[in-house]
Order: sequence, then C-alpha cells, then structure tokens
Amino acid sequence: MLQISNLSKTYPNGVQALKDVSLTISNGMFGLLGPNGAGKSSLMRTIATLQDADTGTITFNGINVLTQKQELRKTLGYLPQEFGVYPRVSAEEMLHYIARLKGITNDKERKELVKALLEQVNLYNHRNKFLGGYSGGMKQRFGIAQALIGDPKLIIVDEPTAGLDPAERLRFNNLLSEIGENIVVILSTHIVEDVSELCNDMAIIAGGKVVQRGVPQEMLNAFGGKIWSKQVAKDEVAGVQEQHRLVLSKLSGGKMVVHIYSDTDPGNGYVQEKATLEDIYFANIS
Amino acid sequence: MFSSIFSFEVRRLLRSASTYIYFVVLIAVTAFVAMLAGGMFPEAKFAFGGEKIYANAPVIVDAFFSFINNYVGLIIIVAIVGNAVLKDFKFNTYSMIFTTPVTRFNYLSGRFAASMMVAMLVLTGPAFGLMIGYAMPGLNPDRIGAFMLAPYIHTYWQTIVPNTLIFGSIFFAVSLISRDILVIWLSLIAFFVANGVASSTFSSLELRSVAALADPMGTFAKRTLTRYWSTHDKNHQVMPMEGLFLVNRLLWLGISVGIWAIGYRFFSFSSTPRRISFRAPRPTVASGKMSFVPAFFRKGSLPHTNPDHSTRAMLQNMWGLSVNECKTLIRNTSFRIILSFGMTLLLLVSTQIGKIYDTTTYPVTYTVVEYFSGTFNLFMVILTILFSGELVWRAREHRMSNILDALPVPNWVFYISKLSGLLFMQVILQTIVVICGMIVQVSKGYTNFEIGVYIKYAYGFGLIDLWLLSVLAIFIQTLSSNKFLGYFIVALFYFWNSTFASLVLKHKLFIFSSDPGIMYSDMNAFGHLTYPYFIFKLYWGALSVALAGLTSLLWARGTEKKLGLRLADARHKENRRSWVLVAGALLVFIGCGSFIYYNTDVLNKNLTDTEQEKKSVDYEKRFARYKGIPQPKITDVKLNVDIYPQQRSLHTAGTYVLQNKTDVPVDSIHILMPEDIKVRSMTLARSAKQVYYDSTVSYRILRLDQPLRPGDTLTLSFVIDMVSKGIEHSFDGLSKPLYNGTFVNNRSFLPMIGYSTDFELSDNSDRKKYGLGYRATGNAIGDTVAWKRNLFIHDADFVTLEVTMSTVPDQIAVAPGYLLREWSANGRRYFHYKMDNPILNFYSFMSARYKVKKDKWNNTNIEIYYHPGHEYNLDRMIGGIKKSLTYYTQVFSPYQHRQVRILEFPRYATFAQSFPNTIPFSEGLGFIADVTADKDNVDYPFYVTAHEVAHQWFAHQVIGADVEGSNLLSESLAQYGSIMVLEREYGEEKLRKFLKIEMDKYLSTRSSESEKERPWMYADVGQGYILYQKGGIQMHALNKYLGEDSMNHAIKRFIDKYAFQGPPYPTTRELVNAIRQSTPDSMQYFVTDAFEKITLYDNKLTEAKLKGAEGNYSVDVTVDSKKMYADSTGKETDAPGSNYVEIGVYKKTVGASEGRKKLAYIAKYKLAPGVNKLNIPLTFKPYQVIVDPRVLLIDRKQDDNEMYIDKDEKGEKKESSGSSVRAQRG
Repeated sequence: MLQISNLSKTYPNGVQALKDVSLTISNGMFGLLGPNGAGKSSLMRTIATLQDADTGTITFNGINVLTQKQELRKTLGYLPQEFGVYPRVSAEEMLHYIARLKGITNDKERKELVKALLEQVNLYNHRNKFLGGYSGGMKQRFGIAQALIGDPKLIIVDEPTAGLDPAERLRFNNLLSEIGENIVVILSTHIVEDVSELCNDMAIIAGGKVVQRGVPQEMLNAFGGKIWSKQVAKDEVAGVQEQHRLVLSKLSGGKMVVHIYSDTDPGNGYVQEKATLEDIYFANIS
Repeated sequence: MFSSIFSFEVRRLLRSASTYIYFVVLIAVTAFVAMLAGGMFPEAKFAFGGEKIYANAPVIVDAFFSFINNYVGLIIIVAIVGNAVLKDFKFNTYSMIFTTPVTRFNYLSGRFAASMMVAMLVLTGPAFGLMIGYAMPGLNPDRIGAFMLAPYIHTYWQTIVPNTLIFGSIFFAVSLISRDILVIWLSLIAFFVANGVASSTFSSLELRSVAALADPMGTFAKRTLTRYWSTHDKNHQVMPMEGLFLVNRLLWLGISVGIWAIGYRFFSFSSTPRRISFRAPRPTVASGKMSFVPAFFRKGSLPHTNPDHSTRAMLQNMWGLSVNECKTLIRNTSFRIILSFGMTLLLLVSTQIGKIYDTTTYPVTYTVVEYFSGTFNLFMVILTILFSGELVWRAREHRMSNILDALPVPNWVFYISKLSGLLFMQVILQTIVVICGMIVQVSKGYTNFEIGVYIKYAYGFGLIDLWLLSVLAIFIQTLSSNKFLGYFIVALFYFWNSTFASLVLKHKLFIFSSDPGIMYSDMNAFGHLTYPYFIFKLYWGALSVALAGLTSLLWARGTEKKLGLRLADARHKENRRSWVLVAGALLVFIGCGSFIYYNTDVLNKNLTDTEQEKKSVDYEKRFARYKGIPQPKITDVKLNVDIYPQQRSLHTAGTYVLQNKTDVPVDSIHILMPEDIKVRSMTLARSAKQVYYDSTVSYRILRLDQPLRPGDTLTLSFVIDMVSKGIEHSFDGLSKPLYNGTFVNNRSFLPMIGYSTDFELSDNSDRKKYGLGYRATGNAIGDTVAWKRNLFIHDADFVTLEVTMSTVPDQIAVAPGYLLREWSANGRRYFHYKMDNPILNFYSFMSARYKVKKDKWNNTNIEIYYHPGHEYNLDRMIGGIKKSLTYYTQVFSPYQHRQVRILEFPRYATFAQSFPNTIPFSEGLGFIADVTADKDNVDYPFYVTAHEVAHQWFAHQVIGADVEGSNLLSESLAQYGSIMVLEREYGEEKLRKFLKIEMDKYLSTRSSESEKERPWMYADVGQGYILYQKGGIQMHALNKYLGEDSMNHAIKRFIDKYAFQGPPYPTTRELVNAIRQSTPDSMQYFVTDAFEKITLYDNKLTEAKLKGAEGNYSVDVTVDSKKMYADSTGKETDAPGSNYVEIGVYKKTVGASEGRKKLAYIAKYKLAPGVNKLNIPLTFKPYQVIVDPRVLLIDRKQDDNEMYIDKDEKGEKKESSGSSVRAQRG
C-alpha cells in the first residue's frame, strides 16, 4: 500500500511540479495518466527516492519514503522515463552489475536470475550485445528486466511505451501485464491505451494536480452516453467550442471530428459515442 | 559566400564569453610568470637562462610568449578550431547547412579562417600579460631592462602567427577526419607527450639540426640560433628570422597546408563521416524481426533470490563491482589510444636510458624502472585525471543514473567501487611498465630482472601518489558542477602542486602528496628513505581518507545535485559513521602533520633559503672581523672514526697538531664546527679558557693562557658526534652515514681553525639586499696574503694523517692511507690506515659492503672497491689507471703514492673526486655505463678515471694559491691529462667527437653565464664550463700548437718547482710563464689568446674544389677566417692579425664500411681575417676538407667548417685569376 499525502514540490526555477498530491495506491497495476509536463515524472522520481518534496509525505508499507530512502530502495524496482545505457557494456554484464548492487551476492543465484530474466524478456539471444546497439524496444525490455531484480514490492514504470512502435508496445505491455500481481506497480503514461489495456486503477494528473481518480471502468460508466460526436469543417471547430463543452477534436480520414460532453442529446447532427478513456482524459485535462 | 561565413563566424566567436575568458587566462598566467621572473617573490628563485639576463630580455620575452602560447595557447587553438566545424554536428545544424548551396571550400575555409583570426587575436594575450607583469611594482629593478616593443612584435609574427596556422591546420584536419571531439583532445595530448619526449631524446649534438626542423613549434630551431649567444646578445638582440628557424617556419607552413588539404579532401558534405577502418563493415542482421513475437512473462518462474543488504554483503560485492568499473575504463577507446601511445613511446625512449656523454648505461632494473616510470607517469596522471571525471560523471552523462541512483546501496558502495576500479587500472598500467621494462632488458641482453625492485618501485612507491591523486580528483569532480570544470580544476591544481607550489610554499606539509624524496641505489637500496616516505604518505593518506569520506557523503545522487541539498542530505543521522570517519581521519592527518613538523623542524633543522641566507649574513656580520687574524695551521691529524651505518651516525675522537706558522704570537684559537655536529669535548693541550661560544653557528674562541709563539705547536683533542635524528624535510643524500655506502669527508664533520669565508653569502645581489659589501668570487691574483693559503684548505698546508676506522662486520671502511692492520673487536671491524707522506688536509671516509678487485702497475697497487654486480667496467677503470699512471709518470713527475684506489658510492650524487690515493666514484657515473653498445661512444669510465688519477698530480702535488684562476691548476690540468690519455688510447677521431661535445657545452654554458665570463687564467671556481670544457679544449690545442714535448716539459717544470711546496702557493701566472718559456715567438699570441682573453673564431669553409687527376691531385680551398675577442658580457670585437689554423684533408678508407674516412693530410696555415684562397697539393684522392679538424679553436659554428669534395671539373675554368694565395704554410 503506497500512501501519498499532500505532496508539493516547486523547482528552483519556479515551476510548481506537484500541488498537494494525495493518492492511495494498493496492489495491482495503477495507471497514472497525464500530458507532458503534468508532473508525472516528478511524482515518480519522488517516489523512487531520487528527489525530495517540499511538503507532504509518502509511505510504503510503513516505510517513510522521504526519509528512509535506503529502506525503500530495497523493495523498489524502477524503470525511469528516460535512461541511457553505457556504451560497450552488454545487457548481461549490466544486469549482473545491477543485481550485485541490489544485494544479490551469491554468484550462482545471480547467474540464474540474470539468465531467467533475459530469457523472459526475450533478450537472451542478444545478451552479449552492447546495450548501445539496442533498439528502443529492446532497451525498454532490458529496463523492465533490471527493475524486476531483487523481488521488488513496488515497481515504478515511467512512460515506458513512449516512442515504441506498435508491435514493441504490445510486446512490452504483455510483459507488464504479468508483473502487477501482489505488488504495487505504478505505470505513468500519456498514452491512454496503455492504461485501458493494463490498469485496474488509475489517476489523471494535470498541472501538478490529481484531477481524476478511480477505476477505469467506473469512470467510463460515469461518462456513459454523455459523449457525442460530429464531423465538421475545420473552421467550425471554434463555433463548436463556444456552444458546447468540447472534449476533443481530431482528424479522421482527413476530416475533422469533434467530441463534446453533454448530458443530453445536443441534436444538430451529433451522434452518441461510446465513451473511451481518451475522452475522459481529454475532458479532464482541457 | 566566403565572406559571409567568415564574418558570421567571427562575430559569433567574438560574442562568446569563452573567447574573452581565454584571453584573460592567458594574460593572467603570463603576468604571473613575468612577475615570478622579475623577482616579485624573493623566495621563488626563478632565474631563467642566467642571472644577468633581464627578466624582460628579448630572448626571455620570446621564450615566455612562445611557451605560454605553445601550451596554454595551443589548448585554446584546439578548443576554437576543433569546434569550428564539429559544432554543426553537435547541435545538428549540419543538416541545415549541408543542404544549402554553400560550397565545401567556402564553408570549410570560411570557418577555418574565422577561427584562425580569432585565435590569433586571443593569442596576443601573453604579450599584454608580460607587459603588465614586467610593469608591476615590487619587482627587483636589477632584473628588468628597458622596455622594448620589437621582441613582442617579432615573436608574434615569427612564432605565434605561424604556429597558430600550423596547429590550427593540423587540428582542423583532425576534426574534419575524425569528427570526434575526444579524438581531437587525445591527439593534442599525444602531441604534447610526443613533443616532450622528443625534446629530451633529440638533445644530442648530432640530432640538433634534425630536431630544429622536426619541431613544429620552432622552439628547437630558435635554440640553435641563440644557443651560443652571449649575455649581451640575449639582453639586446631580437630573435632573427634566419637559418634553420626560417627553414623550419617555411617547412611547417608547407606541411600544414598539405595537412589542411588532406582534411579538406576527407571531409564529405554528409552526416556520416568517412571511416578509416581496416575492416570492411560486416552487415549485421537487423535485430528487430519483422514478424511479431509476443513476449510473455511469467513472474513466478523467476528463480528465487535472497537479496542481502548488509554491509558485509556489500563489502563482499565490492571486488566484483570494482572489477566491473575497471573493465569499463579499460574498454574505453581513449584508454587504449593513450596506452598504446604510451607504450610505443616507452620502447622508443628506451634507447636513451641513462645517457652521459651520449653513452648509455646497462639496463639495470632501477634505471629502467625509473626512466620508464618517469616517462609513463604523465600518461598515468592524464588517465587518472581523465577517468576520475569519467567515473564520477559516466552514470549521469549516459543517463544511467536514473536507474542506478535508486538502487538499494549507500553512496560509499558507488564511491569505493569506482575508486577501486581506478586503482585497479593504475595497477594494470604499472604492470605494463614492468613488462615493457623487462622487454627492454631482454632485448638488450640483460636478464638480471630484480623483481623486488620492480615491485617496490612500480607498485609500492609508484602507486601511492597516483592513489592520492585519484582520491583528490574524484573529490573535486564530485563537488564540481561540470565535468570539464572539474578537469580544469584538477589539472590546474596538479600543475600548481608539481611546479610552483614548492617555490612559493616553504614546507612540504603544504604540498599535496609530497615526501622527502625516494631514490633507489643498487648499493643502498631505498636506504633509510622508506620510513620518512611512508610517514609523509600516511599524512597525505589520512587527508585522503577524510576527502574520501566527504566524497562519499556528498556523492551526487538523484536528480537534485545542488551542493547545498547534498550537504543537507549528508547531515542525516544515518551518516553519522561517515562523519566520524572524516573526523578521525582529520585527527590522524593533524597528528601526523605535527609529528612530521616535530621531526623536520624541531629534531632537525629545516631552513628555508631565506633563513639560510640570514644565517650566513649573521655569521659574516658577527665573525668577519676575525678574518685573517693570525691562527696556527694543522700539521698532523690522528683520528678514530667509528661509523654506525644502521644508526646513520658517526663518532670521532681525534687530535690535531697545530703549529703557529705566522711570525707573531697567537693568543687565542678560533674553532668553527660544520653544521649539525655535536661536540662532546674540545680541549687544548695547554691551559686555555673558552672565552666565546656561539651555538647557532658553533663558533668558539679558546684563549690561551700563554700565547703560542711562532713555530710552536699545540695539540687540539676533540670528540665529536654526527647523528641522524628522525625524519628530515628533504633527502640529504650523502651528507650523513648510510646503511651501505657511507661517504663523508673531513670538511663535513671535523673542526676547522679560524674564520672561513666559505660560509659567507656569495651571491652579490643577495649581499646587496642584506647590506653586505660586494664580494669578489676569488681573491685578486696579486693578493700576496692569499698566496699563503692554498685554494682548498685554509687551515692547513700539507699534513700527516693516521686514521683508525671502524664499522659493522660486513662492511669495509676506507680512509686515505695504507692499511697497516685490520682486526675485529667488540663485534666491529677495525682498519688502521696511515699515510706515509704529507697530503692536503682533505680526505674521505667510506664504508660499504664492498668487493675488491686488485691489480698492479709496476709497484703500485690498484684496488677497486665496488658493489657486487657492478663488474661491467672494472677493467676499463683499471686500464684507465694504468694508462694514466704510465703517461703521467712519463711526462710529468713520479707518482707520490704506492696505491690507487677507486671506491664506489651511492648514486645520490654523480661525480668522482680525487683524495690522496683514493678516488670515490659514483655508482651513477660509469659503473653501469654500457660503452660497448656503440663503437662511437666516449668511454667515460676510462676518461673519468684518467681525470681523477691526473688530480693526484694536479691538486695533490701542485695546488694553487687561494686566488682567482687557481682552479685551472687542478681542473684544467687534470682535464689535459685525461684528454691526452684518451687520445693515446682511442685515437684522434674519437677525441674529436668528445671535444665537439665539450665545445658545445662550453659555448652554450657561457651563453647563460650568471656573473661575467672571465678569461681562462682568471676563471673562478663556479665557472666549470671554463675550467673543464674550455680548459680541456685549450690545453689540448696548446699541446698541438706548441708540440706535445714542449707543452709537457713546460708542465713538468711547473710541477718540479711547486710540487708539495707549502706557501706561497703558485698561481696561474706561474703556469702561463712556464708555458711561455716553451713557446716560440710566433705562437706567443696563441698563449695570450688562450689564457688572457676570451677568444672566439668563426672560420668557414666556403669552397673546396678538386683539381688534377690520379697521382696529381690538389684542392682549391676558400676559407673565411675571423677571430674575435669577447668582453665579460659577451660583446665581441674583431681581432686583427693573422692566425694559424689547421686544415685537414680526409680520404675515404678502402675496404672500410661506408662513411669511414681517415685524416690523411693536415697542416697549419696562417690565415688573414676575411677570405683566404689556398691550393693544397695532395698525393691521394681527397674526400673531405675540414678546417680545424682536431677541434683546437673555439669556433661557434663547426658545421660550416667542413665540405665534401665535389668533383666539379668545370670549376677549373672559373678559378683562374684567383691566385691570391696569401696564406703560407705554418
């Protein structure tokens, strides 16, 4: 159980990254959805002990994350949003190195673990290849492998699918889907599908604040029947925005399609749409 | 197009802050150097090329201006020009530029020209820095000459601008080819190191012109121009653009254009650089298969692990982690580049090991490991500094820190593993040094590896400094906000610490990583130096532990790296143990420091230069009034000298018989003790009272109740101790007894009678500072009072000596004299020596584990006391002794002793010295020389032996009076003896090589004379270049000009008259008179030129043409002759009159290998100043003509004295009217 209470953080340059964030996250895959710059990574880094908060507390299974960093690190698996790799170091060597640092001192245990991890993330055939030569997807799979070392009870995965091609994204999400049992996994992403595919619990964060919190299905239910769409000309979008609560406007086959939120049928050619997480996301961040 | 690229780039560079920072740094550094040279900091003695040369003399301005720009400036050139194109790749602007219609040439030349232009502007900085520095108040006005603008302008156009273009082109081309900033910097480092090594390697005489051309900086070329400049020239003459310097400039500008063109050709307007590769790229199968393979993860199937986060587990892990860190360093390309470069250099420089007189030594382990460690040290320091930054910043640079920083390990695990990784790398590097050393030893056929010495040097002493540096560098990098800033600070600190720190800071306690010094000697191993060394390293080690603790506490972790935040983090309770460690280490540091201070400054005396000067001033001010008061002289010495090698102490009980040789009664005896000698008792055999005693200089006056009447004698008994206490601030070499290889002389521990001027402050500018009057370096030659004292010893004439020495059982103790008895008692070994005839009151005491080689020459015993293993040149030394005795007894006078002994002593000093029938000879001078390696080498063990044996005549038979020039009578004459023996043994050709080296030494040393050059017969003791080098050349020349017999007769007459005579002692006048008596009138001018004037020749062979045919050859020779007299500052005036000059013709020897030649014709010609045309009829086919082939005249330019015969038959026509053969045969 991860408990975040009243967390605030302002960077020295004046950007307020987190504003009074409170969240309670229990076992399972938790999705943290938000646009770029919403404060997702700041929150993730704070939980991952890499950064301090100005005010507020985080506790995880009785560990005060902000003061007992070392304790938390012992149960943490962290895949940062952005990480590089050393040139001229192979995946196998790097995993061994991290495993050592995660306290797996027994050579045999470590060898078995590294081998198993490489097999499971489908990198075994590339284990001797330098990490510098890995593709984006392979790199992310390596990233999740290292995060899993040492039986973590809390796994933080920060925007893991950004920049992956569809096939790699699917492959990666397949991996993720299996690890969320019995432990807390926080997946931060700006890709709505990731959350809808993987998470049983989620929050939407924007401008450093939690703007929506709940189980995806419940949220969809709450939106049920309230999303209406219509195909319009480009210069009509402004008019729609004036008249209705515009959720999103997007291109579809070269034409502009608008989604609006309305409790009742707005008429005027609008068609009722099945609400998606995308709608909820846009409705919350706009 | 070009102009817009050019002006845009210039404007961009001029807007950049770094351009101005470079400029300011250059000004600041140079101003500091100028102030240092100008005497701003009196503690920092920083004389550059002679004290009489102004700090702002044109040559010095040129040297500083060029030097700063060749080093700091070159870095700036590379920074500017290296980025001129690379920045487009760094910022990805290349895609925009390469797609515009700009041509490759305009783009590259525009960028290049702009960066060159800005670099040239920036590199004017040192000129302003120097001008500012020299104009500072507080400089020593004696050191500053009148301001001249011309040197700055000349240097700028002759050196700075061409060098900027040369190096700009080279590094621009490197940037175009490699497109990698790292490669550019590495090539710069490679250049610096290669340049450094090359300059030490190519210093030998023959390679000088090669070096002058090969050095792209032009430094060597300039040195060939100014090498023999006099002080006057250096102070007034601007660097000319001529000769090799001009050729060098043109050559390198040409080469740089070529290199620029190569870079230009190589550079393609595309995003991927052309690769230089020996392997064709292997097409690899794209890793991401197109078909979709889903990955399914079964978490349950992962093996179970037991993570252990205890400290113990982390320590267990440390080895693996460190190995890992080390691996990543070794895989680094720069490591490999630097390493392979360093190894190549090691093997290249191995040919230079231990060169003296161009002769190498045998590759005994310590010379190899010292030489290699020295050469390779720079690489190790560079790699250490480079990789300390790499280790600290790697995770952050590669954005790996996001993962690693969140791992469950405390900071110290990261820190220690990285530090150890670095240390492992250093161990590997040292191993490479050892392996290279052994390879070199084997390749030279030497197999006595002495693994112990390798291990101690390479892994013991060699690593500690690197470790300390590692800790410091990582500490600085941890605090630094930027890797390059970190590098800059570390490099700056290292530079300061290894150069200026010791000049400015007075105690080694303030010089990071310092120690009193360590030096290996085959005889004494590391001697007593290990303990002080480790105490000092413990001191610095403790500081390093504290720094390590702080580094670990402040290790940058997480995304917020502000130091304040890290400090706040470090204050957490959980870090208490680390703070305790830091505090504990600091306590040890302070404790150790106090202990060292107690040792160096309380137990021992550690005087700074200034304190030492003040002490001398004090001595002179208080006691100079006793100068010249009547004192008795020592006539007999009896000593019991007990040497305690392990305690490094010496105990002596002895008696002097003093005789009043004056004609007035002496009422008190003045006794002066050498420094640091403990006097147990000091009694006179007559009743006397100690009326004065001063402990600081150990000066005492004993007043006799009954004055000592003229001719009366008196016995002085004394018991004294010389003890070693604790750690001394700096290694003091031979001054005290050693574990093995003690060598002390009586002047360093026995009482002296009367006031001695030896302890006065001698430097006249210092004397002025302290209000003391001018002091001539020697007494005037006509000072008849001074004739009563000999040059070396003021308190005795000739004495009788008897010594009983004792030492530990496994050592042999040796003092001058004949061994009467040897016995053992009280677990010690005793030797009783007695001299059978009077000797100078100057003798040595030695003790070591010697082996002895014995031989005989007629009735004279020859003994060589040497260190086992150093047998290489014993036969050469014995040969030298025999040949010397043969020649000297034949031409000079009989040998006064029945034995000659050579005794080896540790290499802490490299000289040989002649005491009566006893010659201490340094381990570092000749015992391990490899004279067999090259047939052309000078056999210096033989030559030095001959010189020292000659001193048995010149010093020990005839000794000069205590006046100017008297050193000639010992040194120049000994040099003469050895040259004659060398010539008889090895022939004229080899002697020629030797004399050329001597000529170069004389000419270049006189060029940086600090006082004023004196004519030979007035040379003072400090002017070794006159006494030895010029003296040897001129004695040899006199021998050839006057004839060997007449010359030797003259010397014999001189010896006969003055040998073993007490006062009055002879002066150089007596020698010159003796020589003049053997000189025909026609040659008197030559004697005058040699002894009384500073004479220089500038002979030049301008033409040598072959005439005639088989059996009837002759050569037409044109010689430009010139003789000059120089005054004491080196100012020259042409000397009128004709001079005899030898001209030699060589023929090619048949059958011999190529280049072998033989002097087949030689004759003296009387040449008038100016052009002389001669015809030399020959009976053989000439090969080469050389003016003054036997190197008899001091000629500043020897190269233009020789010419090979060109078989130009047409030459006959041109040469028809030139019948003005003014020269006559001499």
